[in-house]
Amino acid sequence: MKRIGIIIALLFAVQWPAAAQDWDPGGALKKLSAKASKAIDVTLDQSMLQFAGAFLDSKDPDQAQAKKIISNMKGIYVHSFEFEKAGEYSEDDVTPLRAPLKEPLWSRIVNVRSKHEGQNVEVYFKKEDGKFTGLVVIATEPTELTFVDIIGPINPDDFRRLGGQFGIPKVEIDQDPAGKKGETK
Amino acid sequence: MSRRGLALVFAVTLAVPCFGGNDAEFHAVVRIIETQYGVHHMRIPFLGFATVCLKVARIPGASGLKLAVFDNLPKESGISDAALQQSIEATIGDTWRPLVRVRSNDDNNLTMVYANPSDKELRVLVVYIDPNTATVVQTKLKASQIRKWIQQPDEVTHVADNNGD
Repeated sequence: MKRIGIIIALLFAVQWPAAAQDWDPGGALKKLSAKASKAIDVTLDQSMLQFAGAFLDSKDPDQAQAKKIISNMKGIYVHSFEFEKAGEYSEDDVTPLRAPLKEPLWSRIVNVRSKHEGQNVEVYFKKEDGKFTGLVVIATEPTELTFVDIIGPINPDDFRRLGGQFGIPKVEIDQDPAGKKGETK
Repeated sequence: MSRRGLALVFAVTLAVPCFGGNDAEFHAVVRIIETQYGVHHMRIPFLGFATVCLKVARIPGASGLKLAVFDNLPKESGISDAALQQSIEATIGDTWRPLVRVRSNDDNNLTMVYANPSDKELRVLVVYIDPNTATVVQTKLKASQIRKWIQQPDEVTHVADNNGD
């Protein structure tokens, strides 16, 4: 009986890791998928990221940085939608994607510029107990929309370095006059 | 070796089935499509030779290619993408991770890519379905190809494009 008590106590003491999961705010991604001419979903969960990390070249500075960043990552989920012509999706389709990204948990980074001409990029960071724990990117242009959900510790510098890999858009985070990178609001 | 013996070896080589040893999940997915759509995969003449050509010329860094092609899928199958995806995932198990899913509403086709990572290689299973045809491809990707998909994960779907035409 005592042994059973110890086992139960141990079971309660174990901190089960929360499963990192993709999300679809308000079913917006499903709706966009139905409207798009092409919908691409990329899923890189923790096991895939660890596997991918092993193949990044530690001698290449960019890949070495990416390797370090993804080592603690729990998941990267990229949803891209391509539309036949401009106007096939509207602001009403994008609004539900932003709805859960509210303060104080989420902060939008200002001074973010896409390296892809004509693309508007919004970057939201999730902060818990003073630590960055996730990131969402909404990149829009007239005939394309990309929603990126990164789960795990990632700061603005890490995010900039990951751009162009794993299907993540390349962005520049401008320095503000005070010399700080990417203000949040 | 006599000319007749040589011809026999050549004939056997060409007749090599597209399936090899460690491919239970590949077979299972082929069976799902056969059962759900009521079709059989095609017997392709020279597939053994074609497989070698595909391996060498069209998918750099790929090996152990297994291929099943289905033609003349029924027009009204009534099988939804979600149901097919669910059947496939329940069958192949969670050692195969969903990696990329591409749905083209214009051409009405669906590509699903699953990955099974091990220490040194990545096994990739690709299922491509359009209104008339289906293709199932399983292959192993080596380091060079894996680095390529790290940069552009949806490039993996080109395995299906290369083989599904």
